[in-house]
Parts: sequence; structure tokens; C-alpha cells
Amino acid sequence: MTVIQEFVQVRKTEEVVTKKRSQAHEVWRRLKKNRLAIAGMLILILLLFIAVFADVIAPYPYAKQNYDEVLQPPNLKHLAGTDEFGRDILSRIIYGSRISLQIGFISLTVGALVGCILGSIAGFFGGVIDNVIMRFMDILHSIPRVILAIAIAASLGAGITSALIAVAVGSIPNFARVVRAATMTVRDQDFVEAARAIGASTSRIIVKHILPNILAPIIVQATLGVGTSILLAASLSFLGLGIQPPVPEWGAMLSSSRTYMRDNPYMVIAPGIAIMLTVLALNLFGDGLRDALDPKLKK
Amino acid sequence: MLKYAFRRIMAMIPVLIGISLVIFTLLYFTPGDPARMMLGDLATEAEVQALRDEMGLNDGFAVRYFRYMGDLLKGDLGTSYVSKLPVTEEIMSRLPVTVLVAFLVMIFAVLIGVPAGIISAVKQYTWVDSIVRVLSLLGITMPAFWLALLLVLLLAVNLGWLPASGLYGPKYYILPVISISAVSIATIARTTRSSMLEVIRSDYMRTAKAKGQSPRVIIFKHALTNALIPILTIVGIQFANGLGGAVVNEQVFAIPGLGKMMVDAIKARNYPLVQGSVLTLALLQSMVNLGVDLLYASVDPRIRSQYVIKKKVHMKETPVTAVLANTGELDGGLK
Repeated sequence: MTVIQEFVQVRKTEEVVTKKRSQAHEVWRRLKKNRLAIAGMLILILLLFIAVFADVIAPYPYAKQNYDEVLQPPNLKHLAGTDEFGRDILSRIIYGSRISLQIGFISLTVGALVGCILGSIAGFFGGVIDNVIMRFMDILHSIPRVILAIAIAASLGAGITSALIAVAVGSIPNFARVVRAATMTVRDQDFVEAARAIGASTSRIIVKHILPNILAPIIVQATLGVGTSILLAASLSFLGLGIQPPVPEWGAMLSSSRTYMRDNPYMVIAPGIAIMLTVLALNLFGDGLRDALDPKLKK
Repeated sequence: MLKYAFRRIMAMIPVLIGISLVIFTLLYFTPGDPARMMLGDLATEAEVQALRDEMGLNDGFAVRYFRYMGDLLKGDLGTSYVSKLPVTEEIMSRLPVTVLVAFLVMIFAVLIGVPAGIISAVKQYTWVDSIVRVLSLLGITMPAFWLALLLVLLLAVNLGWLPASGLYGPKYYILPVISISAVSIATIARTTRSSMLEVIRSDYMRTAKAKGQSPRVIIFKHALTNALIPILTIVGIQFANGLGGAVVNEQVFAIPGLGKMMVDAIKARNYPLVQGSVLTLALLQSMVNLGVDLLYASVDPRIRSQYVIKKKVHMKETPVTAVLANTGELDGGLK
């Protein structure tokens, strides 16, 4: 075997190995190295497990009132104590994970979906369409997000659906911006031109060719955005504009504990830790994912 | 520079009109009859109808919006349903408190966040860096209102060092400022750190070191001045967030600011006041963003020229968002 033949052989083997290792595999390999991100992911999996199996895990039903055990500090029977109606705080926290994760993920999905559609249309077409869409995004972006959420929640009335919408709308501009910028960088590339040349429709080009190529920034924005959405929903409930009692939402629990916290400080601790842990896990995982998806960004 | 400033200000006008339309639409569709609210349950239907006519509530959406905008141009934001005072007057009485708190928060956050970020970057991978990173992560993930409750419990209820609520003197500002600024300190420290790290690795830093300059000169003269733009941006954003985010904490500490007034007005269905407060807060945020843009356009001529080029290729994003997208802090620090 000549040197050239040997070289060609080695190159061929290398190519096969590289092809086998898909992009997802590569991302996972990089993510695995980041211990903090893995810790965040494990906490998230645990939280999802708790949310799904809340009925089995929670020691008591979340709305069960027991006037013989009102405002009890943490004890063996009630590990996180009881509230002003004698309800078990730990059980409420466990059920609350359902609400918070639901709001976080659904609102973000809705926001991401709308943002991606608007952003990709704006980026792909440019011109007047781009101008109209992005000026509207500018308007939404100029209203402080908490204030926008409060105004929407006030307009729609309290409840889970209105909290979902209130949180979702504020996240649209960020997605639209990220997707628009990414679309603009890929829209003039050869593979899009090729797709157009074989007669693919605009919607097909956007969905099949452009979106898969700009997925990384969307995923990162989404993971980091869920934490923000959960915090925002908790703030709304804390103000009494989001989810209403007796639904066990963490922010609403903190709000109602304010009246009793002077003599029962334990009431303030558990819901706060629950919010913080969830957002922390999402941030750690999101940061890790960003580094794994785009190592260039790693600092 | 003047041309740039003029363009940016002109670009703000349609956005502000848009904001007014969005807020007006939201509140237009809000359930509840303001006339019934004002007259109470005992009023007859005829009386309510008469008041509705008088207030122009029976007119169509477009008529009401244009009337509102016409009044707005004259500086009239309507009349509060509850106090019967002009909304402008009510807002002006509360605005200074919110702005002062946001200002104190910003100063406090910069005084702690920037040095913490610099130290963390200079001493990368040491225990100081680890502490700063852990604390800033906690600051970002901790709900501001929870931190506020914990501080009240510890410093006001248990130790009795500071007052828990109200705003009657300098002492009363300490707890709100600390709890609102936690997230800003964390975000500023993180941005300063990453921005400094990027600069520290550049060639001219090595040259400065090779010239034998002292570490102090290298850090403050060479590194910090070049790392300033992302830091400046994040400080501006945090100031704007402080204005909006204060809504929740004003509630916790019973601070008589714009945020508390807005939430109370929502609960009382006092919509002219809600509308006015939201518009004022949005206007303030836009002005802060504009201020930051102008500030670093004057610091960095590249941004001015970038704006001109951007316009040509239909990329009208403001430098604030452009820089934010680069630092990955687009969504950071929202509370």
C-alpha cells in the first residue's frame, strides 16, 4: 500500500466515524462533561417525576383542611408544617410543582411557537413584512415584562389560562428576535437556494430547511426562558393576579404566608426553596446546553 | 452624533404610540363596568347609563382611543375613578419614590456588581471566583419577593435592626434596595466577569503586560474601558428592570410608589390609573434604553456607523439588543 493509498484509507475511516457520531451525540458528549449542567438536569428530572406522580408521593391531598392542626411548625407528621387551614405544606409544594412546571413549559412553548413563526417570516421575507412584525415586537419589548404580564392578567382575569397567556406574550419578542437574526444568516445560503430551485414552497423551506438549522439558539433561549416564566408566574400569583387559592401555586403560597410569617416563619421557607431550586436547575441546564450546542460561546 | 440621537428619538415615537394602543386595547376588553364601579350597587340602571354616556363609555373603540390619544397629547391621562383626581397628578405624586428607589438600586448594584465581576475575572478559577459565581447564580434564581420576605424576617422581625415596611426615612430604604438589587448585582457581576474575561485574553493585554505595566493599570485602563459596553448595557437594562420589577417589592414593603399604585388600581378596577401607570413605566423604560444607546454611541463611534449600515440592510435592532444578544443576557435579570 502506497503512502497515498494509506492516507485515503485513513481519511475514509475518519469520515465514517464522524458521520456515525450524530450532532445530538456530540452535544450530549459535551453536556456530559459539564457536571453542573448534569446536576441541573437531574434536579429537573426529579421535579418532573414529582409533578407526574404527585398523587402517589404527596402524603396528604393538597386541599384537605384540618382545623385541629392549624399553623403547626415542621414535625414528623407534617415535614414542612401546616398552613392557616391546617393543610400540609409539603403536599401543597409537591402538587404545586405541577402548576409551576406546567405554566413554565406551556407558556414558553406557546411563546416560542408564535415567536419562531413571526421571527422566521420576518427574517425570510425582509422588507415591509419584516418591518411591520419587528416594530410590533419592539412595542411588546418596550413594555417591562412584569408590567405587560400584569396588564394582560388584569385584562383576562385571574386563573391558570390567563396566567399562561400573560407569561407567554412577553416571551414572544425574544424568540422572534433570535429566530429572525438566525434566519437572516441562513436564508441566502446555497442549500436554501437549492431548495428554492427544485420548487419547494416558502413554508416548506422555512420549516424543513431553515428552522432545523437555527434550532440551537431557539433551544437555548427556551431552556433559559422557562425559569424566567416560572418566576414571572410566581410573581403574578404573589400579587394576587395569577393563580388563585386554593390551587397550590408556590407564589400564591408565599403571598398568603405573609400574614402569618411573623409567628410562623417556616411558612415562607418551603415555597421559596421550591421556586429557587426549579429556576436554578433550569438555569444550570440551560447554561450547559448553550455551551454544548455552541462551544464557541463558552467563556 | 446629533443626527443619530434625532433618529433614535424619532424611532421611539411610533413605538410609544404602539404601546398606548396595546395597553388601551387590553384594558378596553377587560370585564367590568367602570360606571357601575363608581356608582356602586345601589345605583339604578338609568343612572349607570347616564354616567356611561357622560364618560363616553358607550362610544366605539376607535372613537375612545383617538379621544384618549388626543387628551394624552395635551398631557391629560384621564381621571382616577376612585380619588376623582387627575391621573397625571396621582402618577406624579408616586413617580419620584419609584425612580428614587430604582436609582438607589442601580447605584448599589453597580458598586457591588462591577467590582465583584472584575475580581472574579481577574482571579478566575480561584475560591473568590467560585464564591462570586455561586452567589450571582443564587441572585438570579432567587425570587426577589422571597428574598425580601426572608430579609424582613431576619433583619426586621427577629433582630429588629431595620423597619419592615413603609418609607419614612433613610433607614426604610435599606431592605427594599438590598432585595430589589440582588438580581441586578448578580446580573451585572456575571456580565462584567464574562466581558472582562473576553478582553483579558486579547493580544493588546498581553502587549501591555509585556511592556511591564502594573496590574492595576492593565485592569483599569486597558481591560475595563474595553469591557465597558456590555456592562453599560446591562446596567441600563437593570435600571429599567428595577423600575418594572419594583412593582412586586413595593407591595412587600408597602412602598407608596408607582408599582404599588398600579396593582392597587388593578384590584379596584381603576383603569385610567392602570393605563397611565403602565404608559409611564413603559415610557421610562424606553427613555432609559435610549439614554444607554446614546451614551455608548458617544463612547464608541463604531456603534453610530453600525446603525447607519444596519439601516441599509433592514436590521433595525437597537444597539441595546444587539449587544445583549452577544452577551447572552437577552432574558437575564427579569424579576
